[in-house]
Amino acid sequence: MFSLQSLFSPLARVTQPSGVFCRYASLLGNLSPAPNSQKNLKRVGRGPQSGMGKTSRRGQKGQKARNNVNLWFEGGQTPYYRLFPKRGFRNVHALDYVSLNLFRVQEYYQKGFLNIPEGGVLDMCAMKKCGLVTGNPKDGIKLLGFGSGQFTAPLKIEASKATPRAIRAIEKAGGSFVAKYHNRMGYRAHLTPGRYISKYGRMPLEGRPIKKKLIEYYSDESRRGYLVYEKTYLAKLAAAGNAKASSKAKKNSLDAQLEAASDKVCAESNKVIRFEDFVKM
Amino acid sequence: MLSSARTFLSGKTFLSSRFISSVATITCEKATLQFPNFQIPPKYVLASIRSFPSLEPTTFVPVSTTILNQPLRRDLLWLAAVYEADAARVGSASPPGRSELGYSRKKVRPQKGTGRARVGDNNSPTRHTGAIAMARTAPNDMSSDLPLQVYHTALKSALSHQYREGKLFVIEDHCDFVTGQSQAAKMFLKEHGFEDKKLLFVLDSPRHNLADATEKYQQKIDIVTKDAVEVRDILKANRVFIELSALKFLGCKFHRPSDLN
Repeated sequence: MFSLQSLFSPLARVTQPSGVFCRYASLLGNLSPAPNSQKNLKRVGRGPQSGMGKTSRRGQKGQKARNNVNLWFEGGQTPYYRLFPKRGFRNVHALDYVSLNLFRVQEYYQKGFLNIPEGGVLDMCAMKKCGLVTGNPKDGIKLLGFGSGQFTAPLKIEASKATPRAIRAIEKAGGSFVAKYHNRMGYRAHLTPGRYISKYGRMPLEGRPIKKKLIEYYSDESRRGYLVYEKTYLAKLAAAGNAKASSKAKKNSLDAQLEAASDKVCAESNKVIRFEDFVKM
Repeated sequence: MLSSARTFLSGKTFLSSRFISSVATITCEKATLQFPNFQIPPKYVLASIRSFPSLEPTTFVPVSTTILNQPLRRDLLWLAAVYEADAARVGSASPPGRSELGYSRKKVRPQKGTGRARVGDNNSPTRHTGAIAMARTAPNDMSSDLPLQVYHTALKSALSHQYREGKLFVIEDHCDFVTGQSQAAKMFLKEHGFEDKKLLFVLDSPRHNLADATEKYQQKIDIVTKDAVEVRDILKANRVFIELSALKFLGCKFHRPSDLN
């Protein structure tokens, strides 16, 4: 491209010839669109010279000359959209996942494109960042097992769902999989945390599954649902917390007095307590 | 071998013998595998790194061809220039419509019997002193749309053009003078013979001395920060001075996963 001499010349005052003869100082005045890429606006009713004057390309007389006719109008015949009975339904609650095959993950892993730190988790945010999934993020990412025979990446993966075959392949390669639920807002925040932090100054709290079907899915050990791990983790925490609480529990003097009093008063049940009882005490 | 953009971004920007040898071996392997005259297009170009304001070259860096060796696309540059010009319009036009024009609503003359053409009132847009048909009220949004990838390609094309012309100066550190006095700018222009040239400085962050010193030369010198650089700025300039960090920033911005392959 250029010689070493030109690289180290004190200044590229003499510019390198570009190889194309040009008579202009700046490119800006010599730009043009690609041929046939631009279309001029149709300007109707601007006089006879334009060829679109008088009737403005609408012809003589009639409904179409005067106003618009609906595209579906078939001259009074039952139009196509009303000809057939309604059939079937659309499940508006269905979740649509981006499918990601393991061979893509393997390819990115081998080429070093994953961009995650050593021992880091390949979550959906990381997948989006490195270009493993592109386009509309839909409601989540589902890992599919195509390419699981060749899958050797020992990765910690976190996604919305994975097929049993994909889970087996990931774990066989020495990695782990966790199926993680995000609600709609949480998913967007997970993918683009910067947007939420700049807008609200914090990340939204993580939503948990509400639908029975989803609770069951994410509590399923065989699906590697995150609620299973969370439950065991919480149970551990609770156990540790209780042990601490019991050892540290300390009564103040008022509590001690109350306890002593309740022992005496409530020892006999079903009995009306009178003022004399207190006096006796 | 590491991919182009990753090497550039990961800070391994300085040329090493290892780098040269790896390119050469790959080229040879592929050449023997396929056609006798087959060559892999270069993945890097070399950009001199210069100090400021002496513009003395100190070293050079390999820069991905996806940024500095893009073909000259006049059509995309045209699209980008039009897009920027549209976006730059203030849209303050506010001509009067026929309801806003101050003439009376009275019919100018009777419909029949005068032997002259039919007329309505004086506000009619068909009349010489009449209102504007389809009048609009400010502010008018004149901005147009352009796919981001097209715009980025145009920016890369513009940068590459300046690079090929030898008019792109990558500055090692801060592109700044030691003083804010205009004498500094004057000396700089005179020393390098830039007095009659249009200059563009693309900075990582605002440099106050540079801004103060060049205030007298605003007609000739344009200063923008890295995130505000436009295609028209680059094309208008006769010399482009870009800080290395700003170039890296643009490299990250233009990076596409497909560039890695």
